[in-house]
Amino acid sequence: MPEFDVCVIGSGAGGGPVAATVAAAGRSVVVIEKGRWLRREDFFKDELGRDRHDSYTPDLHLEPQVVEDRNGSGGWSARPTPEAGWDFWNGSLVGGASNLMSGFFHRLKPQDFRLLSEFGPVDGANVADWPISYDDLEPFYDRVERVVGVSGRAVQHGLADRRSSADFPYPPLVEHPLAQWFDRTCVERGLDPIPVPRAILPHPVDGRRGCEYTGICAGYGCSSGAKGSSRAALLSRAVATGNCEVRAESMAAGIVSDARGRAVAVEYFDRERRRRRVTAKVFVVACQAIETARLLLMSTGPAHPRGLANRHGLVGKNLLFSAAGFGIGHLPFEKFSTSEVEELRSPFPFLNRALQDWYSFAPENGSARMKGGTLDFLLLHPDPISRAIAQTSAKNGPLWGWPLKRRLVRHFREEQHVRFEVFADWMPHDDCHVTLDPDVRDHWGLPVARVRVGRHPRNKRVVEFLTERGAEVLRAMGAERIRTRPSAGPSTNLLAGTCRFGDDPRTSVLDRDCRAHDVENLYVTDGSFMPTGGSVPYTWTIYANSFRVADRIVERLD
Amino acid sequence: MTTELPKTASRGGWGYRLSRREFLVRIAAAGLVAGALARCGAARQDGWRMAELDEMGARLTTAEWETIAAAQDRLLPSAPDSPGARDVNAIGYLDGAMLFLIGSEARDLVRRGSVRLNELAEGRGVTRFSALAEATQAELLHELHDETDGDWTAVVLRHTLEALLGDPVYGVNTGQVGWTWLGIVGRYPRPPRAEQGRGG
Ligand SMILES: Cc1cc2nc3c(=O)[nH]c(=O)nc-3n(C[C@H](O)[C@H](O)[C@H](O)COP(=O)(O)OP(=O)(O)OC[C@H]3O[C@@H](n4cnc5c(N)ncnc54)[C@H](O)[C@@H]3O)c2cc1C
Repeated sequence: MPEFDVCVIGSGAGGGPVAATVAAAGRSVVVIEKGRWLRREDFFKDELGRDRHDSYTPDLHLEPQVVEDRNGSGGWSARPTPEAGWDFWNGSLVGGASNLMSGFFHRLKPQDFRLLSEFGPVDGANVADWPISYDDLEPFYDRVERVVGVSGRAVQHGLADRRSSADFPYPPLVEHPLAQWFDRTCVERGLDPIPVPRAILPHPVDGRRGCEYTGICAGYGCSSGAKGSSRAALLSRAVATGNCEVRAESMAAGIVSDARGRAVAVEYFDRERRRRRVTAKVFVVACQAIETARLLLMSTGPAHPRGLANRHGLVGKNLLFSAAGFGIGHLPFEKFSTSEVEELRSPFPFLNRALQDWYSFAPENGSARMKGGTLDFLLLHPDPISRAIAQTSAKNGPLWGWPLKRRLVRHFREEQHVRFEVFADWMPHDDCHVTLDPDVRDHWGLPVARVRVGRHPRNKRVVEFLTERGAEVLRAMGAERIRTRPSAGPSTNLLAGTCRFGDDPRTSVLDRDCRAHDVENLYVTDGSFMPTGGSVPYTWTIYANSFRVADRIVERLD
Repeated sequence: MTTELPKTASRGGWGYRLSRREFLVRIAAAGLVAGALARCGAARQDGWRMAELDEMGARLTTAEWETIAAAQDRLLPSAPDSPGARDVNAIGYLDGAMLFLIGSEARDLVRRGSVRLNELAEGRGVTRFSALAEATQAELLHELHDETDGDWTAVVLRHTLEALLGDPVYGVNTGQVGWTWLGIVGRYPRPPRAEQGRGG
């Protein structure tokens, strides 16, 4: 007799909804999580702590990954992450990266579910429609608003979401006065400024405090509990039912399957590095796209010689990031009136505005309409050290001494800054994928993920277009010294793909309920299921889909 | 990386990482020792401390301490109305960082730069960089900068700015002078002191 009804591996945005739903339905669930269980009281606004001995992600020497990138001669070179200088870990703690997100929340648009049908094939890219539609997911977006806690304001605009509830359950956070400036600028230009929903509570709810407006969200755990992390919003409730056990500091090493191909147990290392096993009726993997693929590939069994759910060699394929770009503009106080400067100096950290006017666009060269994306506008992250270090680079070399001090005063005391980030579809293609590295192992002795990060040229083209639009808006707001950086590289904190869902087992790993085609009692509920990523950050969609799948799991247990 | 924040500096090959608790305990210990040394030159002769430091292996020597402190004064000079490196224990912090934060490559770089500054000083007729006039020191720093492709100044300047704007629990940003100068508010909850360190 299995010990638990459900075993969830990974406790982040993909794992939390399943644990909470199953526990609330009176079923037993165990959550296996490699990271530590930090509580609200353990989170500080400590930039040195975060930057220099990162508490939230593994030591890359103990738990490397391998990055495979294009080299100068057209081939691929592989470097372990300690050498590469970047990696794909985003948060190894109970609640995963959802603890550390900013919580800018966007729903996908109906067209994101039908990228192939709406825009046609793209050369060299594996674009596919989803097997479900926006309408299938809408009730769960709605559930996330209530259960995880999303604050915002529904407004009418060209691409307004179809909603089953009239407005958000929580009113928007207090905004910086620049939000009004932004709105005026956009309306004058015929654009539709959108208030950005945030997975942040504006006031206390169920033992979580309301937002305290430090603005130190991205990269930091939330000490008020306002941020809708899987830990604060879902796992705490799941545990309170008495039906959910969280086993922290437990590294899943493989899913054991029987001769018929069913999953029967998870093997993991506990905090004393003992190898242990837990059995369940149903298994749910949610380790974040790259580590999910790695775990499945490591989990060979008599019926799964190439790894679990990998009969057609599709696990790890079509890894998605978000195509990204950035821009910043400076608003020097000397250009503005006393009352305007007072507004610019407001201590409220949230601008919370986006534009989706170019969610699709017709390129000037007359070629067919193509998918565009979202521009999110925000103030700078308040961290002073990284901001100060950014001031040390100047056009003619490095800045130090008195000129640096002058620049620091200008930056921190004499101007405001508006930044934007671009989110666009990352084209899925054959050279962006996860495999197991043949040589490199982590300190458990397990093979590590080898991540090939090939880019499709379309990403850059779209990001460049959007970045230019963002710069125009900054200019119209009166910003000076506008700098933009369309990026061709992967955004390592937004991960999806690797276990596509679909109706055809020959082209997809999971079925439309995110159950493995090949393994009757195995589900994947992080962002891995997504065939295409949409042009927004993913987490609202990951949460919503995980709730959707959780309902299916509860139904099958009944 | 989108959604606001660049990846942490530690990903940039600066060295290995410690748990938060380990970091706090060690940097506090280093800060205390370093602070004591700074206050009292004689402390350098203190047999017990020197033995401890030798065992730890990586700390700044007297010559390095003096040289790099002088360089930091140029990188972030002190003025009556605005703090500089010497007001925020930047050298003590770098000394601690040599032990606990930066990898051996960066450590060697810091050391070599210090030796090189004194060599360059000899070319100007003195044996110690710290004995030179400020303007000459600045010139030599530019020379070193060019010779190391900017790496030396990047490492030392980075640590100097960390000392200016880091949380005072790390023995830097003394009395929050850095934050006060630049109007930085609202960093709460603050990290606890080492002995209370949690979650590490
Ligand atoms: C700084 C930052 C800012 C962000 N901002 C936003 C934002 O504004 N909006 C947005 O939508 N998204 C944002 N994100 C992204 C968001 O955090 C992720 O999309 C989301 O957390 C992904 O959920 P997940 O379940 O896939 O992974 P995670 O939340 O990372 O959870 C995966 C969990 O699995 C665990 N795990 C992995 N392997 C194993 C194993 N073998 N055994 C046991 N456990 C394992 C990990 O330790 C982790 O806890 C941000 C992320 C970061 C880092």
